[in-house]
Amino acid sequence: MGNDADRSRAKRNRARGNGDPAEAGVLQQDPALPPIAVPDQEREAEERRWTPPKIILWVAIAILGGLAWVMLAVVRGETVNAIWFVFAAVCTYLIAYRFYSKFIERVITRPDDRRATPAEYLANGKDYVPTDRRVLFGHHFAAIAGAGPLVGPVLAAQMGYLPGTLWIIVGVILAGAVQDYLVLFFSTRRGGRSLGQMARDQLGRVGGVAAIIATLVIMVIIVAILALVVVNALGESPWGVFSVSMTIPIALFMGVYLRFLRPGKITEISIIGFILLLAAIIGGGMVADTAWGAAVFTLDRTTIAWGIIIYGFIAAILPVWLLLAPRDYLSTFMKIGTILMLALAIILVRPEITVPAFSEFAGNPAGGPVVPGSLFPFLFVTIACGALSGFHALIASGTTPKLLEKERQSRFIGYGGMLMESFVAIMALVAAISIDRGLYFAMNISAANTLGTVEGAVAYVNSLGLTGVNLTPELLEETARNVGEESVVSRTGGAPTLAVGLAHIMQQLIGGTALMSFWYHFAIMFEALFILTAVDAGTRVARFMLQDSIGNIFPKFKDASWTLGAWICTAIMVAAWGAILIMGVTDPLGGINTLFPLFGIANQLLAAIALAVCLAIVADRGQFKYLWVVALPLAFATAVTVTASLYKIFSPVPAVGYWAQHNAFKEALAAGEETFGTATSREAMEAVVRNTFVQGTLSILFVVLTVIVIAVAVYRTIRAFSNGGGINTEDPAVASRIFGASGLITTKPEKRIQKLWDALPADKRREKSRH
Amino acid sequence: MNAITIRRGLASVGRYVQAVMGDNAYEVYLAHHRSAHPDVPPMPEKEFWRERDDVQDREPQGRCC
Repeated sequence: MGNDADRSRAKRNRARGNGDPAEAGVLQQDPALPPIAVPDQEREAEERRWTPPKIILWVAIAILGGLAWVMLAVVRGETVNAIWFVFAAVCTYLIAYRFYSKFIERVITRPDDRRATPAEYLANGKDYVPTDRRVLFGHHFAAIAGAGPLVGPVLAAQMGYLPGTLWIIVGVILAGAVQDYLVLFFSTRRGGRSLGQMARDQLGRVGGVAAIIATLVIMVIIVAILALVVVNALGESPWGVFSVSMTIPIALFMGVYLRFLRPGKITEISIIGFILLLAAIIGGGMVADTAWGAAVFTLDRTTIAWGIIIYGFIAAILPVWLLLAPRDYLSTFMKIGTILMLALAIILVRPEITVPAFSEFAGNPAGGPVVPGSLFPFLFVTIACGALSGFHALIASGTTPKLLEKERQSRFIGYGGMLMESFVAIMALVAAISIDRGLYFAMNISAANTLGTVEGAVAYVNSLGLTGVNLTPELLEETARNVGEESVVSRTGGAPTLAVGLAHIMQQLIGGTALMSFWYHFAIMFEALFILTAVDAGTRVARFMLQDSIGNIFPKFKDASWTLGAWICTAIMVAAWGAILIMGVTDPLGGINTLFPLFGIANQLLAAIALAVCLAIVADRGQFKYLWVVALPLAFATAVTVTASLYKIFSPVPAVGYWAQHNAFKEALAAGEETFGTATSREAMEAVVRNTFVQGTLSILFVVLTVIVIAVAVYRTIRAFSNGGGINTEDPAVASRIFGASGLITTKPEKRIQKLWDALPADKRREKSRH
Repeated sequence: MNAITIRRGLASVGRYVQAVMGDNAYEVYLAHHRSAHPDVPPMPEKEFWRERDDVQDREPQGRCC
């Protein structure tokens, strides 16, 4: 596209406020139908009408939220009640949703419900279906939320509760939810195109290719590290290994049931599957108690990692109906259930939190023992999901737009859905900090320091000199006994800590200590379920992307029905994440603490790419006055991820910098040392040299790709600025012929119009475009 | 709050869960098909569900962390 063409279109873009003259003709309302949208004037009048009850409600929300923040951030007594976290989060979300997302809607997205969404104009009754907004909210939430928001906040709790809480809540309203909303809306205007395609359209060839490579590499990292979380939760745990393994036959049974016995009875089989899952958890406890059970299912981490790699390959080449689809149903079902359970438990039990607002590690440039590195930037990469998660851009583009009924609903689905995920992250944080602080550190410090023994953990944790922490061997032994594990020392990765926290809260509600082991394994089970679903789906999506990319050179690979090609690409992707997983499992430095920052950096870099694409789009629309809405989170995400990457590449502190670690071990090897740091043999030292090389190289790759994408986006933005706008990459407008309310609650004008539609004869209602 | 209201409430929760899980996909397809291609017979139910799963083999969908 030449510059002249850009400029002539730019003129049109600048004029494009709420009605391009060319579009106005297309978007004529069909006179035979009731209104397909609430008239702008009426809607705005309704939004601006402040009745006394409405004012009282919002003042009450503001006061309650403000009070909660004062309790958390200013008063910070000896203990703080968990209920304040809930109030602070919910009230802030409500205010942000009502005012900030509405502001973004008014000044940036400017949805037009007279325009049909791709779900309407491409409707085929299968993947393009205008879906009820509340149902779509459930779908979208199930697709974006998984184990991520349950893990990151747990690890970040080492800094105290306040930094994590602030970042989760402020981050989501200014960054995460903004990204999800904008990507969803912009993709909807573009026929539901994927992030990669939008990047190519908006940023040109170089930016587009960099974005696609970055997405692919990031996907590999994310799958690998999620798998590492499962491995760490199941290592040396016969109970966990048994019950999580049972999910495979349960899913196979569900698949066969749905395929051959009762097709379409998804909820029915999910309930059956859920009951079988509970049986598997209870059975796991019994099996682990027997001598043969303990002998068969006590596996070390390396064996489990290989198991997951082999499983991941098989799961990715089996037909979807047999394993992936049924497990996805089970996972969705569990997601709704466990999150309700977590919320109810925290609200009913209201545990007292004794963790300080800022811990001793918050001001330490080397960070804490759970994840190394200073608070800025590493807190912001440790908590990615729940505050700002780039991965969501892959769901918000492509998948959800194909189901979105009306443009104006994208605020509720995109912004609202992400707020919901953030709330899950807050609850995970509360669950993790409700347990004893000494126990928290004993569980989350790697075996390299605790030696994996109760004595070692007690000695190490007590040597940290944390105020109020006096860890006793009895506490560690009692906790292990209560949750039905051999040991809880160095169960890193976040999942076991959350499980202990959840069990701790739930047993106060139901069952007492007798049921603690059940709740613990229930929590491990759902985390493993979410993660394994993400591993399967991630491998498939990555394989698909790889096939597509190789297909540009060898066209045969593009043929999705060519089984060998699919197998080769699956094997490549599994080998890629499998190698990183094995590296993490065998890492003499501990694994999760060295790799988790890469996960966060990868996820946030994807967010930076998505926001860069949004920036270029907003600039091309000529909306420079409000560019800051996108530029602010983009600048922050860029600062965080680039700084974190630079630390990882250049920091001279070995715990933080991969290359510093690499060189330190290399020199030690060259000097003929037999042991160095936490590595007890020359093989271990060589492993560190190898691992840090891979990690350091990945860091460089990430940062280079992202800087390319952001630089292109900024260049395009500046060019658009000097032209007063840029190319319009939207699909042509199509007039809508359906109606749908916008938000969670149907407003009065919407009810009035809905009544007219309901009164319409069935054959005229909901007529979709033919194709 | 009588038994009928509670039952109605539970029924609508049940319907919501079923819609999120996708139990009603075939009905949705039929409704679409009737209005878009009234002259073509719709796909039989069993075939529809098979097709629905198999399409994921060709176009996998991501699941987030």
